[in-house]
Amino acid sequence: MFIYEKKLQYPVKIKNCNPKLAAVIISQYGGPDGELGASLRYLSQRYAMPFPELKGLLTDIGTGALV
Amino acid sequence: MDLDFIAEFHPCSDETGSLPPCAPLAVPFVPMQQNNPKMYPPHQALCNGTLFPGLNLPFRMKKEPRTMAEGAACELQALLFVLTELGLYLDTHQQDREAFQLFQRYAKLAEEGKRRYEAAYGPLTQASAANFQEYIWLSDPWPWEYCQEGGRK
Repeated sequence: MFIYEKKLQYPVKIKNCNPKLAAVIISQYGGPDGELGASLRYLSQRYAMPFPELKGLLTDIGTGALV
Repeated sequence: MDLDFIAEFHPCSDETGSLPPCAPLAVPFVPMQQNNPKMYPPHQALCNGTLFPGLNLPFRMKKEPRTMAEGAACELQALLFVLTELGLYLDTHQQDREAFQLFQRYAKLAEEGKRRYEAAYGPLTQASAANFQEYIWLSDPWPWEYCQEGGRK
């Protein structure tokens, strides 16, 4: 179960807008082999994991990647 | 999976890890981070994107971190990042007592940091919006709208 925190994880200070870079970043996050897909795979596959340490690890990595 | 057995072996330098002795043939292993790894201070950890110098492996081998902005929000971001990193470390090193004690200390610091942050900027979670006089959860700015100069970072 997730809680949303109304703050950024890392400070962002954009001096010059760069739409091309933005397109690359968003494709790394959402595109094929993107972080978003990976997070959802971690969070889905932990249900089949037999070792408790790894259920926890998959949960925490999936959560961190969602951030 | 006996991780303790692996950790007992000869300590290597900080950027190296342990591998199981007499491992089964043809099975790949990833070197395991050892107990008591060196750690960056919180702001440097946030800047480098990792708490551990041993795991600071930037793409083109440049190791100087960018300088960080300061501010109350930054304090909390650094604390919470260290907490996340320690949590991930403890997931694979649950016997490391010292790391756990550090985790407990940071958890406490983070709680205080959150209270300070909320006092200055408003609720961090919808639930904590209950601690205010009015329901201000919906107020602007939202994190993706923080402005660069003067506003919250």
